[in-house]
Amino acid sequence: MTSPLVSRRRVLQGGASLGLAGLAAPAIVGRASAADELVMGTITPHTGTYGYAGKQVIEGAKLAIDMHGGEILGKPIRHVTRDSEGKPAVGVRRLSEALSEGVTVFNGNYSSAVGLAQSEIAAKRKVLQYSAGGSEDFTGSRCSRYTFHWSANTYTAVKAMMDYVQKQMPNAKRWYTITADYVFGQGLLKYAEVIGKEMGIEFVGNDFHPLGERQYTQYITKAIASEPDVLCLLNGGSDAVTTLRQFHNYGAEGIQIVTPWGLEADQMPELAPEMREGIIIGQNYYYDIDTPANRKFVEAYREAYGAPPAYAGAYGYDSFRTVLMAMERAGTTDVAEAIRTLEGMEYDSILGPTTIDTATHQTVRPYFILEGVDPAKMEHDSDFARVVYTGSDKQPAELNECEDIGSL
Amino acid sequence: MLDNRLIGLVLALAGVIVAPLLLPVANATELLIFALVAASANLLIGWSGLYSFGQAALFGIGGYAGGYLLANTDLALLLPVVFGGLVAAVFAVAMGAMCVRRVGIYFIMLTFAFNQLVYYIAYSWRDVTGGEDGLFGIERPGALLPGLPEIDLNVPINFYILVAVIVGLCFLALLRVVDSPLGQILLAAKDNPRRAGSVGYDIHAAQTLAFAISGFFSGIAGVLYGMVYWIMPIDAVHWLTSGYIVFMVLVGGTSSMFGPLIGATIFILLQDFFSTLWARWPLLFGAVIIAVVMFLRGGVIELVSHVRGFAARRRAMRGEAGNA
Repeated sequence: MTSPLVSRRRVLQGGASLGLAGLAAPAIVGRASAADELVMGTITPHTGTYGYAGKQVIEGAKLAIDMHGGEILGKPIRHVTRDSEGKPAVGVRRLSEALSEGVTVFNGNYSSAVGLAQSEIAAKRKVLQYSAGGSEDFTGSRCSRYTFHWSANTYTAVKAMMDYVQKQMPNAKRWYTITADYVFGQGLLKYAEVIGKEMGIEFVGNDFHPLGERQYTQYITKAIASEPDVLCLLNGGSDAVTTLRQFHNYGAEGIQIVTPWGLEADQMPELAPEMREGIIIGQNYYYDIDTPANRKFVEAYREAYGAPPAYAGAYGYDSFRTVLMAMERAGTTDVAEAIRTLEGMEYDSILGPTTIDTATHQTVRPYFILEGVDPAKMEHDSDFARVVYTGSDKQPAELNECEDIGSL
Repeated sequence: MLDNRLIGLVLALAGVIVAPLLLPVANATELLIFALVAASANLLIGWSGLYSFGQAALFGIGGYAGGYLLANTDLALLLPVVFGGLVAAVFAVAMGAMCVRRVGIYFIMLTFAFNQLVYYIAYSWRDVTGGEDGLFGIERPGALLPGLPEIDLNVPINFYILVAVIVGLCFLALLRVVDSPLGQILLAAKDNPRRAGSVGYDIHAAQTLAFAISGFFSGIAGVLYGMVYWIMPIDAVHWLTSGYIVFMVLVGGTSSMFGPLIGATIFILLQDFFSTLWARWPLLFGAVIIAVVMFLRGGVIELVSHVRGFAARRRAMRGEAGNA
C-alpha cells in the first residue's frame, strides 16, 4: 500500500498548502525525482462502466510490484495510478500527466479505443506501453515499437475454440453465427470463416446486430430455423449475456452454444445456472490455470484482496511482471533496452509458455476454452466453468496487417 | 471598462506564461485549447443567450477536417488549421440557420441532435475518422506556412508557444467581435428579440453569423487539439464534451469573455486534481459545481466583481470617516 498513498499524500499536502498552485504539485514533485527510481503507471478506468475492472488492474499491477520486492536492480519502484474514465480523450490527458511524474512504463487501458489513443503518445514520448483489449489493431494496422499487447490475438482465440469443438464434436459441421456489427465482431467472423474453411465447416447463416442491441429474437428464430449444430456468438459483454438469455427461452435442443471472446468468467453469475451448463466460452485468463506462476499469483491475490483474480487483475499483474522480468534480464530499467529484451523473449507467464513476437509485439500465449459446469456438480460457489482446452496458435503472418513496427 | 479588459489581458498573459511551469506542458496546451473553445461558445451562450449543446460537434468537425490533412498530407501547419476552422464554420452556418429558428428547450434539443448526428457520422465513417478508435497519425508539421523556416514542434514547449499565439490571436478576434455592432445586436436580441427585430435587425442572420464565428474558432481549437496527443479521439465529439463546454462557460461566468477562460481552467484542473484523490471523485466535483451555481450565479468571474465592490465600499467608508 505504499506507493499510491505517498503520491496521494504529496498531492494533498500540496493542495492544502498551496491552494490552486497545489493542483500542479504532482508536476513539480515529478520533476524533482531523478532516474534513480522506476516509475510504473496504471492508467485505468476508476469511474464509469468499467470502473470495477480498473480497480482489479490496479490491484494486479500493485501485486506484481510488491511480489518483486518493491524494487528492481537496487532502485525502488513507484506506482502511479490515474483515472482514464474509460474515455480516450481523458486517457491521453491523464497519461501525459502521469508521464510528467516520471512514468516510463504503463498499462491499464481496458478499452481498446483508450489504449490505441495512448499508443500514439507512447511512441512519441518513448515510453513502454503494455496494452490489453480485443482489438487486433494493437499488433496489426497500428502496431508500434513501444506497445506490447497482452490479450491474445483474436485469431488465436477463434482457432482454439474451433479446434476444441472439432475435437469434441467432429460431426458438428453446420455453424450459425451472430456477430456484433463493428470492427471487433467483424474481425472474429473473418477468422471464423478462414479457419472454418480449412476444417470443412459450413456457415449456414450469419446475422449482424448493432452494438448494444436489446432484442435478439429475430436472429435466434432464424438461427434455429436453419438447424445448425453450433450457434457461435461473435459479440461480447452484455450483448452476449442478453443473446444467451433470450436463446435459452426458446428451449432449443441439440444446438451447441459457443462464444470465443463473448463472456468473461466473472460475468457467469449473470446467467442462470441452467443457461451456463454446457456452453463453451473462450477466455484470456481463468484463475484455475494450472501453472506454477499462476498458483503463486492466485494465492497472493486471494490473500491481499479476498477473492480470486479475473482477467483484469491478471492483466495488471502479468504485464508488469513481464516487463520487470525483461528489465532484470537486460540488467537495466532503460526503456529501449527493455523493449529489445522483450522482443522475442521466451518465458513462463502465469498463462504458461509464452513468447513475444518481434515483428508485431503480440504476446503469443495460451488461450483457454472453458465449459460451463452442470449446476448439480459445482464444487464451490464460483465453480461456474472449467478449463477443457488450451490453444496458442499464432496469427499467421499473411493475415497480419503490421507493416512496419517502427524504430526506437 | 477598458481598464478591466487590460487587467484581464495582463492576467491572462501571466497565466499563459506560468501554466507550463506548473503543469505538464501537454496538459497546459490542452487547457489553452479548451479556453478558446469555451470563449467561442460564450459568443453563443453569453452574448446571444443560445445555450448550444453542439459545440463539441464544431470542435470535432474542425479536428477531423484539419487532422485528416495533417495525417495524410505534408501541408504547412497553418493551412490545415484554417481549413479545419472553415469546415467547422460552414457546418455551423447550416446548424445555426436551422437551430436559431427555435428557442429555449427546442433550441437546446436541436443543437443536441446535431451534435449526436455528427458523433454517429464520425463513429461510422471509419475510413476518414478512424471510428471508435479515433483519427490517428496526426503530425505536427515543422513549417507554419510554405517558405517560412521550420520549427521543431515535437519539442513540447515550442508547440505550446505556437498554440498560445494562435489561441491569443483568436481570443483578441473574439473580443473584437463582441465589441462590434454584431455583438451589440446579439446582446439586444438576447434581452428582447422582438424589440430588436422590430428595430430592423435580422436576428436570425445575426445569430447564424455568431454560430459561424463560434464554429470557426472552435474548429481551429479542434485542429490544435488533434495535434496535442497526435490523435483525434471520438469522445471529443460526444455530447458529453458539449455539456462540459457549457459547464466551463457557466462556471467561469458568461458576462465577460474572460469568464470562460477561468471556467475552462478550473473545470479541467479540478477534474484532474479530484481524480487523484478518490475513485468516487465525480461526487466531489459535482459538489463544487453545485456550490458555484448556488452561490455564484454569475460564475467565478462574479467573485472578482464582488471583491472589487467590497474594496470600493471600504474605500468609500474610509473616505467618509476621514472627512468626518
